[in-house]
Amino acid sequence: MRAPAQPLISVRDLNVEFVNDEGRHPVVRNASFDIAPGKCLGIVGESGSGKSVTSLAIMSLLPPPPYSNVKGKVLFEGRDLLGLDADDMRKLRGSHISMIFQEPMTSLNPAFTIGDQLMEAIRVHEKLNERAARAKALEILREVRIPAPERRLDEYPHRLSGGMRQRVMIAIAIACRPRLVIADEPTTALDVTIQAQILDLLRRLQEEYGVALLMISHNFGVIAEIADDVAVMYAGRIVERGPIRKVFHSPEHPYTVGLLGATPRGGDRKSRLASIEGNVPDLKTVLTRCGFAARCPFVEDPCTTHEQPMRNVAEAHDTACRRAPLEQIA
Amino acid sequence: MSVISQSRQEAPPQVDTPATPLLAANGLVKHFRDRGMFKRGTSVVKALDGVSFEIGWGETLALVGESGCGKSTMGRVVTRLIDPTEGSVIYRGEDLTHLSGRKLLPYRRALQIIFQDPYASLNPRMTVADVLGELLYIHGIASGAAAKQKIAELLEMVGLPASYARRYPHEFSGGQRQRIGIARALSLGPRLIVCDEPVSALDVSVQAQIVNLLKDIQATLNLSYLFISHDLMVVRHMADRIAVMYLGRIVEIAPTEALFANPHHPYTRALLNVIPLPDPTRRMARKVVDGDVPSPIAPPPGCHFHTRCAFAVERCRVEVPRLSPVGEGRKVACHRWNEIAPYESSGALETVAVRPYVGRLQERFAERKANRSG
Repeated sequence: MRAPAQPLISVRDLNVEFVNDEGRHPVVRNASFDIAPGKCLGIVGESGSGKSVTSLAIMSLLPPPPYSNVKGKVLFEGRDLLGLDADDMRKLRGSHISMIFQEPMTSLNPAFTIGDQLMEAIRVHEKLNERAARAKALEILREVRIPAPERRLDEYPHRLSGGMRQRVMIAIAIACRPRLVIADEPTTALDVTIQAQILDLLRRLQEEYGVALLMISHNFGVIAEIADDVAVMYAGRIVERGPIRKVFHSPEHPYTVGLLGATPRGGDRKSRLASIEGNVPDLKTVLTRCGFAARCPFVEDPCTTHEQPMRNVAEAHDTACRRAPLEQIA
Repeated sequence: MSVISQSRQEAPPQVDTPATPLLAANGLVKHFRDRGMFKRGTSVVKALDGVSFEIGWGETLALVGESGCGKSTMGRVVTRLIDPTEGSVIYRGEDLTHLSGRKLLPYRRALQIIFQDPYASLNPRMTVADVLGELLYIHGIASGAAAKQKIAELLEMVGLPASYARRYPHEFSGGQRQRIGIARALSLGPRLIVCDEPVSALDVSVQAQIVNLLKDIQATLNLSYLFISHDLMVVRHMADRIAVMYLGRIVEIAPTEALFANPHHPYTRALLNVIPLPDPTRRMARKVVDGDVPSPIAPPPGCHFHTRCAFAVERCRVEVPRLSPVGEGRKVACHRWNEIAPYESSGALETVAVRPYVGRLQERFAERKANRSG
C-alpha cells in the first residue's frame, strides 16, 4: 500500500486457522496492510470473508492454541503483538488499541451503571481515585456528545437508546486515548440518522486526536464515508487494496466490480443490479485456486489451478487478479 | 373436500374499476398496551396514529422510516395478522377489517407477507415440500401429485431446483431461505405481497439477487408490493412511490424520483442527507439531524418531529399537521413545507456514476447468469 512516513500498525502475512475435530480450517490467508496515525483503513467484505477474525487476531482475542493458530506479524509501534505474553497484551488493550463492536447492548454489562463501566475502563490503565475518575468519565461522555452526561453516569444501559449505548461504547474505547481504534460494524444495528451521527463522531475523533481507525463493514456506503484506504476481503483473503477513490472508481478485482454493481446507486429503476451468482467457497479449497474463480465472468485456466498472489497494478493499488488491469478486458 | 369447494366459491368479489385501488388503508390506528415489568398501570404505544394510503395494481409502495415508526405494524395490520384499533383495510372495495375465520381466507390468499428473517418463519422440522404442501392443501389449491407439480413450479419461479423440495430449512443459505419465503408467499396466488425488510439481513451480493427476483416476479405476475425498509437506496431501486413514516404517522408520500429530487418534509430531508453513498467523492457534506427518535409511548405533541426539526415554530409544537395534497400526486404533513428554504442537494439525488468500463464489466456478471440458465 501507500508508503506513509511510519505506519502505526503493520500487519504482514497474517494467517489464521481454526482447529476442531474435523481438522484445520484456514479462515484468514496472508493478510497484509498498514495504517498510518490518524488514517482510516476500511475492510469491506461479506459474511465469512474473515474481516472480523482479522481484527480479533490483531487484538489477540481469538481462542488460544490448539483451537486456533495465528501466524504472521502484527507490528504496532514497532512491536510484534503476536509475540507478546497475555499480561503485556492486556496492558495494551484499551490503552493503546481498543475496539468497538456492533451490538452495544451485549457489550455493556446490564448490572452496572454507565459511570461504573466507564470508570473501570479508566482505572484499569490509570491510577486515579474515585473522584478524579468520575470527573474524567464525565469529560469523556461530553466528548462523545451524550446529552445530560451528569445524569447518564448513574443510569443503567437499558435506559439508553441504541445510539446512546454505542456512544458509551465509544467513550469507553477512547477513555485512555488509544492510538488505534478497531470498529467492527459499529453502525450496522443503528438507524440511519444515528449511523450518521456515529460516523461524524468517529471522524471527529480522528481529526482531533489523530486516532487511527480500522473500520470493518459490509456496507460500501459506510466505508466510502470514512475510509482513506480500503481492503476488500473475500474467502479469507484480501483481494484488493488501495486508496479509497481508486478502489471505488477503478476497481481492479472482479469481486469488487461485482459488489459495487450489486449496491443500489439510484438511477434507472428498470435496470438490474449486478448479481454475483453462486456462493462463497469452502475455505479449504481456495488454497490452490483463486477463491472467486467459480463465480467470476473473467476466469481463465490458471485461476483455477493456482492461488493468485497480490500484485501492484497502479500507485498504491494492489489486486489478487491476474487479469488486471481490468480496463483492458472490458 | 367441503373446505376446498367452499373456499373456492369465496373468491374475492370483482368490483374493480380504474378508480378502485387494489388496497386502501383508511385512518389506521394501532395501540399496543405495554404493561411494564416493574411499573404499575399500563402505558399505550401508539404504533399507528391515523395512517391512510392506497396501493394500485402492480404498484410498489415503500414504507420507510426508523425503528419504532410503525412500518412493520402497518404490514401486519394490512395483512390482518393483527387487528387495527381503529380504521379500516379495504381490498378491491371490500372492507376486511371485521372479517374473520373462513370469510377471511380468500383475502389471506390475496394478501401475503415476506419477513426479514426467513429462518425464523420456517418450521425447522418441515421440509420445503411440507411447508408449501400444507398451505396448498389448507387453501384447497392442490394436493397429491398436483401439489408436487405446483411446488416444483414455485421453486423454479424463485430460482431454486425442484429437488430442494426435500430439504429442511437449515440446509439453506440466508438467500435461499428468503427465496423459500418468497415461494411460500407466492404459493397462494397473491395480488399484494407485504415485504417487511426482505433484504436487510442479507449480504450485498445476495441482496441484489433477491431484489432482482422480486422485480422479475412482479413483472411476470403484475403483483403489488408494500415494501417496508429502512434502506433508502434499496427503496429507491424498488418503489414507484414512497411513504415516509415517523412515530406512527406518514409525514410525506410522493413518487420516488420526485421525493429524491425535492423532499418537502424536514424529516425526509434529514433521511436523504444521511444516506451513505458508495462514492468517496461525495461524502456527506450534510447536516446530520440531532437527537434520537422520541419514545412512541410519549411522542411529542403537535408535529412529532418538532423536537428535532430546524424549522419548528410554536404552531408545530401544538397543532398536528395534516397530511395534505400539494400537487403532483404528493402529500406532505408539515405546516411550513412551502415556507422553508428550498432543499439543497446533498448528492443523494444524483445517480452515483461509475467509469464506463466498470459498467461494462458489471454487465458481464448478468450475461454470465443468462448463459448459465440458458
